[in-house]
Amino acid sequence: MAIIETHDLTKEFGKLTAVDHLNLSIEERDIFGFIGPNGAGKTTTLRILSTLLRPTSGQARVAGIDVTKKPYEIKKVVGFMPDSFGVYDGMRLREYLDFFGAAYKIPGRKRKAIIDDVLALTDLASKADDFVSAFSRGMKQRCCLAKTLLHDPQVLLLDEPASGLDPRARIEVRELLKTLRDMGKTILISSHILSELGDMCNKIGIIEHGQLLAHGDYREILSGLRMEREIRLRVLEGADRAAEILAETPGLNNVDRSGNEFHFESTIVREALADVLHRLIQSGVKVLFFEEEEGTLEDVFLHVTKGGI
Amino acid sequence: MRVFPSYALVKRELITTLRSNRALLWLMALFLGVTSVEVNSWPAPNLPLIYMGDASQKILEFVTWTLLTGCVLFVPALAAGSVVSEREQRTFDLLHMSLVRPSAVLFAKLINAVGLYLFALAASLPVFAVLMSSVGLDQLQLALVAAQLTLICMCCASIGLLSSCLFRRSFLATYGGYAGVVLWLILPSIVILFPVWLLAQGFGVPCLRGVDDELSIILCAPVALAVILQGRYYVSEFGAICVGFAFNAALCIGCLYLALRFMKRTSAEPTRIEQEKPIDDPAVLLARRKRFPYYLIDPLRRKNPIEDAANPMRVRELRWGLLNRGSVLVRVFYCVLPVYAFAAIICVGFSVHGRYPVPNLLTWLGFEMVLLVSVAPAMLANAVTKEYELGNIDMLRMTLLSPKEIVMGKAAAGFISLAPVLAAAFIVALPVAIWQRTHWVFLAAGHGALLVCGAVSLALGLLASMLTRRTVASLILGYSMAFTAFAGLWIIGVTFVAWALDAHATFGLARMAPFLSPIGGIIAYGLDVRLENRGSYLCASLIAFVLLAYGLLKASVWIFARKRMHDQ
Repeated sequence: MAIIETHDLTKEFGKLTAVDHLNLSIEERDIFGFIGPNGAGKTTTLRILSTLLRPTSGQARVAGIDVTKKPYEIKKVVGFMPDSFGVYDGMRLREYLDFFGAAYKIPGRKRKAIIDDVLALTDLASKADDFVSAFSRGMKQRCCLAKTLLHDPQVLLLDEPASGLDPRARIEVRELLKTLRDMGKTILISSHILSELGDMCNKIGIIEHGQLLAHGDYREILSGLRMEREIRLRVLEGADRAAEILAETPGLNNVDRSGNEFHFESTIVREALADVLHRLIQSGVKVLFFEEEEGTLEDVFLHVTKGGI
Repeated sequence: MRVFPSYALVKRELITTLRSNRALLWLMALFLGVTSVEVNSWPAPNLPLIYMGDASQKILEFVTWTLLTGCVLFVPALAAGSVVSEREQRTFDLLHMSLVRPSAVLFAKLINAVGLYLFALAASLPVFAVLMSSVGLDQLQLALVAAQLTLICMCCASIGLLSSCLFRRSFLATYGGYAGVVLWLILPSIVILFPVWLLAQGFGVPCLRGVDDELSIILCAPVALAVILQGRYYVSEFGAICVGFAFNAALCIGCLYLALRFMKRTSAEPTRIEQEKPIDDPAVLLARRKRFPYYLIDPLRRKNPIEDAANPMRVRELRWGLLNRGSVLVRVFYCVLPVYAFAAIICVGFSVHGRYPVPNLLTWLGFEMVLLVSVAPAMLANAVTKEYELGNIDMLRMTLLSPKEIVMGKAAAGFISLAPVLAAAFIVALPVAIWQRTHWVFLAAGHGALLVCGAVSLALGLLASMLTRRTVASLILGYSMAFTAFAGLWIIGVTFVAWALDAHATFGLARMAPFLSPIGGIIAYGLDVRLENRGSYLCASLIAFVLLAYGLLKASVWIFARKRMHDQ
């Protein structure tokens, strides 16, 4: 069942069309990676879905609720983490979360327990009595995520949650999002750090100039876009024989040998590739590994998008 | 020190501003305003020469005071926002690292701050040229007025720039700029002129008689301007005017030098925040209460969670926002109380206006009102703009708080924050009312007007915050609207009555015009004793202003719901 749906969603800023007839469907419990170059319309889409921006035309629904008609109801089911945000001066973390908890109408008797839970989840329990304005960037990101989780939203809209973070903090945020996915949240995440999205997203959408160029299951998109497979072969003995076999086999192109290691492209089906491996072994070649190189999100991104602003 | 300003900066800011429709509208409004005043005041051709000269003089006075008001309202804020906004937008480091010298940056900012105003001043000069071709003005007077206004403008901008380089937040810088200008205008009077006046008048020291007049011309630029407008520079005060010119020019240079020193400090130094843990131990808290500064609400005491029935926005603004921590309210009270008491002793105790008590009480009330009106708009003028500037607006809009809860929470906190200033006024009023017991009704009415002034000022500040996105613009708008509400309507009323009606009808209505302002109303109530039903007029005026404050609050909620809950 689709929890986020958009139909011909369009947003114009004067002459600029930031989002152009966007049709998107995200299933419950998906982690959907929303990728695109700068100015592609990712943030605009997220802001429309979180009711912070009104669309020029088209429809957007979250959990079956129209974002333009019932913004108050949307706020109950959506947690939005903006790409840039500030913190209030002079507030300690617990006070900060208490304020937002009260603003989300969480009753006082439940609020403390909820705050303790989100502090534990975001690994901030030891910082509960510290001033948020003195936190590092990574800590502020976590603090904002903790605030976003306070009212237990079904859907999380995260705009560049890992931007500006050091590698350790990025890994921690990634692990946290995986935990949230396991808790049953639907997460729509926009990011430029494509390698990380590939690790945690089961679906992706690629947007450029406000138009959705591709979207769907990450693996399917990856395999659908790659007509040729890249294969890597390393042998211990019989490298010359292996080179002969590869040269003889139709459908294997651009064979590149470097000592005992080979790289080549294959247009043949997987069963035929298995036959090639069988022939190599039967010919006495000692194969160390024979593997298909995985494509990356970067490859897909570069293949689908045209670039330019 | 190279003083030639950076052309790139002047082009980016001043020329862009001058090219904008808004600048054109401002200049056109000024030109049309000045022209309409001139046309309206144009003497009849058959009048004796002396009346024609008088008309020219009045036009010059009107335009000069208008330009001075505009200068004091706009220039400090524009200058105060110049450097601090670069810091807030994090472009200051880029500027700092460029090959543009700090002095060139500073002078470019100075030109940008005064540019539009000087343009307006130059645009109004042809109007005086027309007057000169008539009668009543001479070239020297016109040149002195223009020079004095330019100097005042430069002083306001220099003070604003100093504040801008001193503070890191635009709110503090703008407020500091305004406070600096007010101090520049009144501090010499308090520190130097009052003791001289006291010695000369109160204790009859003969050698000081007349010294206070000359000192006031030297130290107070608006007084020098008044002397020039009265034409007294012909007689004896020319020397004092020249010395005053030099004094203010030196002040201007001093402020710019200090601003340059402060600006050279790199902005990269982060503000250090001490991670002091909250205190739970009642014994430690009790011990801290018994020591200076005798906290009633200790800032380190662990705060209770926000109650379910409370508006979280109001609680946040009060505990961490407007006056930062609760104990600041108490400190404000401690500070304001002696100031008000001192003013009461001087005005009422020393009877500055002689034996009749009402003018003395009015002077004291006027001081209280000016202090209140100068503080109140700023309390809420950054209510929403700071949320934009700190980057918190999105998170606030995503909560389940309704626009009404957000706006009214901020408004309520603003009213509570003003309470120490009002409480101090009322406490000081009690002994004064006992001493001047025959005038207790007047004192009660005056403090009623004080309350109304506070409410209207706060509501205007809040509305300004809804209409703008930057604190500097909001402060300028808030103070401009407060000035219009408390003085502008009154002046417009008097001018309109004089223009629209014949002399007979004018007299009665002109006496009622002060009731268009709570401040004017209390002055007319106290001084115009022959005006019948003046108590009813004052009541009606105060009720109208209370309704205005209520309407402004409603308008703020409406604007926030329509314009600020979503990006446009």
